Amino acid sequence: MSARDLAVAVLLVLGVGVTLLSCAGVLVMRNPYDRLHYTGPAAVLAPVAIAAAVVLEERLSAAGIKAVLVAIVLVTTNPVLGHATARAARIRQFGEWTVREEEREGDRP
Amino acid sequence: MNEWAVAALALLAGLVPCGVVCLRGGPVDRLVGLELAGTVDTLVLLVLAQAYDRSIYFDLALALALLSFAGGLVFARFLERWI
Repeated sequence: MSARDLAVAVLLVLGVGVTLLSCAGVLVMRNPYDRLHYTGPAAVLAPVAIAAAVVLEERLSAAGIKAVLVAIVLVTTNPVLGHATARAARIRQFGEWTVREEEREGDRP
Repeated sequence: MNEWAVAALALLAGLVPCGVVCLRGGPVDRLVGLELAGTVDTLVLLVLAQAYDRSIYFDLALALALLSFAGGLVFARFLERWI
């Protein structure tokens, strides 16, 4: 096994492990805000690791470039989606998207 | 079966917790499960494309990543007030 094969295997294990841990975290947490935190690693660390593994195996061929593109799309869209989902959860819970009076800290005299 | 196919199989196991979350809990919890399932599916397609050594299959992963983002935004928008 060459050093490149070893690096590919390590990156694949990292990507798969992070994804499975994220799935377990989403299952275990009890409210949508906590659950949203666990979607982050699966959408940021795992695609980067897997795209890096593809690039190591294929170099910057069509497959490598497309894998990098998929990783870029996942990394950039997940924070937007997380924010939209948290916003939806909060508006459903409190009726509006504002800081409530009892949540204000630090701006009191 | 190469290491990429094994990774795809292992990633598929991650869909089980997503399915469980989608089956119980409130509407927003289910949406979070759906979003994570979309991400896991994208990764599975990415790994399978490499396992079968067809670069054209990477387009499927790219399309799914973009469409699951758009779908999640639409669901979040509707869950804000109307559903």
